[in-house]
Amino acid sequence: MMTEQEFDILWQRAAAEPHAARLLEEYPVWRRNRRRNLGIAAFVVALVVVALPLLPPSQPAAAGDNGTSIYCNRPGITEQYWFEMADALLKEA
Amino acid sequence: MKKVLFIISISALALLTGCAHQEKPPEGALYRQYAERQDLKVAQVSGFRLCDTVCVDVVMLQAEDEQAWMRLTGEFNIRCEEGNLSWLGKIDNPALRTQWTGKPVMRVIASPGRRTIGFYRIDNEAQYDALIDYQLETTKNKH
Repeated sequence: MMTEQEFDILWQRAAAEPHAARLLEEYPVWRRNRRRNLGIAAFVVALVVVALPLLPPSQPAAAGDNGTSIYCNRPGITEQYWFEMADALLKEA
Repeated sequence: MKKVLFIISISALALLTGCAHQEKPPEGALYRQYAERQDLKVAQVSGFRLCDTVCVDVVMLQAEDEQAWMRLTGEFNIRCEEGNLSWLGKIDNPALRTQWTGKPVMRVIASPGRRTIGFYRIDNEAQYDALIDYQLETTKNKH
């Protein structure tokens, strides 16, 4: 099995020396494509890292699992308060 | 290969960015109408869940004091001696009582004890039924 350094040397010589290119051809395809594969993997990882923060939250930022969003003209009042109020009004009606 | 990857990744990013920028529903007219009132706490809950599949939007007006409540009762023709009141109101003017005809309406519930009025927007029959079921279920649990 060729070491990575040996592979690198052959890779650099391949363009100029036909026998080095032949050696590379005999080398397993996945090893030859290793750099490219690593590049694609790195690209995919980078894509995921960039995309994850852009994903919308799976759950709304609201109290419990009830509701998607709240507007309130008094910022000090919790969302939970309004959910309970909406629930209580229905229950007492 | 690189071109394909590039196109796929740009498309995916564009899609995700689009999803991320879905803003919450806009403030309703009713909320905007009362949000500036200093004597009222006003809230709009978008997506109040009635059951697994049905949600409604709710606007609540809560009077800060008795004076503010009296003003509200006047605006919505509420007689406080009747206790909790509930009616179907018109979308553009919930003070006006109406009947369910399949068109969007507001289920208005006024609670003098809480000095609060809730407006549950009903756009379709599923919401109308779910709201009734929610209340019936609650009533059943009480007994």
